[in-house]
This record gives sequence, structure tokens and C-alpha cells, in this order.
Amino acid sequence: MFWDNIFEGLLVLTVGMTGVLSVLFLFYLIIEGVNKLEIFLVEKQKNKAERAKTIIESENEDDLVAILTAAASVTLSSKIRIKQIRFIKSQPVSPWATLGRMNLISSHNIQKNQ
Amino acid sequence: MFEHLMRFVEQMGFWSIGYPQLIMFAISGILMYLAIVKGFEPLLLLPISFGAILANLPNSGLLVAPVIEMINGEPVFHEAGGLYYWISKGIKLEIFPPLIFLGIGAMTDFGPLLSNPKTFLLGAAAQLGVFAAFIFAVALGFTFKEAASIGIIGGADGPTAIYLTSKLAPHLLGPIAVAAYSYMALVPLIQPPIMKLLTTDTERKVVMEPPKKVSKRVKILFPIIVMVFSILVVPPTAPLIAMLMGGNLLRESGVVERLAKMASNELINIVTFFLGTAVGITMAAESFLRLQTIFIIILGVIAFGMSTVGGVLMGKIMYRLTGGKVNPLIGSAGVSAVPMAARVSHNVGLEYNKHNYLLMHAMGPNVAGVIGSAIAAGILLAIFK
Repeated sequence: MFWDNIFEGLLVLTVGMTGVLSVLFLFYLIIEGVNKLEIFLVEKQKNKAERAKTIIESENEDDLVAILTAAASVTLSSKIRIKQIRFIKSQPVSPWATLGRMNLISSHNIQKNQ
Repeated sequence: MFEHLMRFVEQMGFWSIGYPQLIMFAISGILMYLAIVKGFEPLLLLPISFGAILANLPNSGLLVAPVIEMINGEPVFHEAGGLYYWISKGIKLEIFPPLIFLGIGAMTDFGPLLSNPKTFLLGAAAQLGVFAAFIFAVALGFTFKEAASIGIIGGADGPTAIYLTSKLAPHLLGPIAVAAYSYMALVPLIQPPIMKLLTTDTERKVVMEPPKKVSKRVKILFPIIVMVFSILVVPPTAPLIAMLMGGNLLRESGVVERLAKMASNELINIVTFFLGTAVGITMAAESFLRLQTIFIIILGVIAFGMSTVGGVLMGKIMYRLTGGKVNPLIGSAGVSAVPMAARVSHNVGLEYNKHNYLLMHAMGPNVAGVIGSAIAAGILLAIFK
């Protein structure tokens, strides 16, 4: 009886430790895979951003200024002078932020030049 | 008048107090001393010792069951039942330990584990004590269910020990909870000699590479992945793992700060008090003062020691396999006892190299140990429930 119980205990030890090790080893593999995927995605995003930067830099700057000036002029329906152009980080912008930015732009030197 | 006075005097508890109760008051006093003066796990030992005093005050009626009669299909309460009859339902109905896990999840940063997922294996190996103590308990004549409940002390995780014991051997809840929390507080005394015995000077001096940064996306995916796979592989572990990972998701999502704060502050504080006192109230003299309790206390040390051995040995294997990049001392942190076990690894490492900061490396196996002990409990439940 005693040795039967000990034998049963050894079986539980074997099954239990194999079970715990297997489950946590599975997590190790999954997290390792997720980490690798994350590195791949970050690299891809970085490459994409770098490519976009190269495209913008390689554009004809005068053409870009002309296009943006025309677009601003049409949007604000008035004669304007562009003093500075800078890139705003591309993020989804709410309509309220856009409206606020347009109000801010139209409240500056634009009135003076009309 | 005299009759009323006699009745009043007769119902006093003094007449029912005997030596067993006095011994239990002394034990409660020692636990309270350890909690208040020595600062040993005061969050749990203080409520447990308070509950133990309550449990041994005669005629308090705190655990009296309600008297309910069904009249026309409706329950009518003749006696409402004692306060702790109802509060203890939090353990019996498996509510308190999972809620504690929700709070632990909301407080735990799994970043160190995710930056070095290999340390999952250390958390797994440190469950050796759970199953080794099981064999010793069986050898001492405990039933399989009792032995499983005693073995889980080696997981060094109080809520898991209470959860498993309440399901497999509720009559041993008091001694097992006291042993689990006492030994968790004694980790700085139990672990270092074993760690030093099993490692060489060169191994102890290994300086590990700084942990890599983990992205928010991985931190959010982690609790979902662990929950899904744990419950699929070991379904009985669902209440603990689901709450642990749910709490962590609240934390890492970053969009429900209020809920995360609630889980890691108010909720866990309230539940800790009720859980502690509800465990303490099971420590009535007639159920606690037995030879079994002494065996449980001894088996608890064996469980803790063997878990430390398992973690350190796995650390040594990883040291060999990685060409000396892993310090085996972090293996001992694979027993849960967060963050005490990680601090012990760090402090022992500092003794041999004053510039070796192992704390963050040890936190990986430490939090893996929390998951490991819940999985071990799930396996024992699957086998014996």
C-alpha cells in the first residue's frame, strides 16, 4: 500500500512537472514568435517611413510649394502668401483640430495682405 | 431578576475557554508579532491571526449556519447566520482567490518576462517542490487530495494555495495558508543557503545583458495569449488565470486606468482582509492543534526548498546552454513570492559582484512562477477533483 502510494506520487510528479514545463515552454515559443513578429513589423514600418521620407525629399520643391499655395488659396478663398511649409506628423486628425488649425491660419497675416 | 443574571453569566464565553483555546491565542499572538514587529507578510498574516483569535472565542456565533425554511417555495430566514458564515462563502464559492489574482494581474509588469521569455522555463522548474512535497505528504499518510493541497505550498503563492485547498482539502485550509504565507515571508532565510550550495562562484558572478524593451502591442497580446492557451490546456486553472490575465489586460491596455487602479488598490485591499480573516477563522483549536499541522509545517519547508532547487538547477542548465549568459541565481526566483524571491536573487548576486544588478532579470522567472503555480494547481485539480 505504502509503495503503491509512493509510485502513484512519482507518477503525479512526472505528469505534473511535464505538464507545467510543456505549458510554459509553449508560452516561451509563442512569446518568442510574437517578439520576432513585432521586430519584423517595426522594421517594416521603419522602412516604409524612410521610403516616404526619400520620396518627399526627392520631389521638386518648387512644384510642391506651388501645389500647396494653390490648395491653401482655394481653401481660404483669398490672396495669400506662403511663408513657411512644414510637415505635420501623419496621424488621424479630428475635424475639430482641422477647423481650429484653419481658423488659426486665417487669423494671421492673411488679412493684412488682402 | 436572579434568573436573568444567571442566564447572562452562563452565556459568557469564559466558561468554555480551555487549554486548546489558550494555545491558539498564543499561536495567534506569535503570528501577529511576526506581522507587526517583524513585518512578515503583514497584509495576510495580520488578518489571519485576527481571524484565528475570533475563531477561538467561544459562543461568538460567527460561523453559525442560517436557519432557513422554505414556505410556499420562498426561503424564510429564522436565523440569519453568523457574519463569517457568509464571508467564508467567498472562499468556498471560489470568489476571493481569483479576485486577489485580478489585483495581482493589475499590479504586475510582465515586461521582464516578455523581454526574456526563456525565463518561463525557470518558473516551470521551480514548481518541482509542489510535486516533491506531494510524494513526501503521501508517504506521511496524507490522502492524495490532502497531499496535493500541501504540495502547492511549494508554489509560494498564497491565493493559489487557498484556492486549491478550499477545493481539495478544506479542513486543512488554516494550517496550509499559515504555512504558505509564513514561508513566503521567510524566503530570504530559506533560499540563500540552497542557492549558494548549488552554484559555483563563477556562476554567481555572471552579469546578464540588460533586458530588451517590450512593445505595448506585445504587452497587450500577452495576457490574451496566456489566458486562451492556459484554459485550453488546463481548464481547471480558468478562474485564476482568467482573473490574473484580465487584471493585466486592464493595466496594459492603458485605456481603463480607473479599473486598473480599482483592481490593484481598493478591490485587492478589501478582498485581502476578508480572505485573511476568513482563513484565520478556520483555525479553531480542535481543527488546528493536530499532529497533521506539524507535518504540514515541515512539508511546507520541504516544498519551498525543493522549488528553489528546481529553479536553480534549471538556471544551471540554461547557464550551460547559453554559454554562460544566464546567472543561475535568478532560477530561485521562479517560486512565485513576488517580488521577495526576485530580491533574494538580486541580493545574493550582489554579495559576489557589487555591480551585478539581477533584480529585473529575476523578475522574469518570478512572474513566470505565478503562472506556473496556477498551472500546477490546475493540473492537480484536473487529476484529483
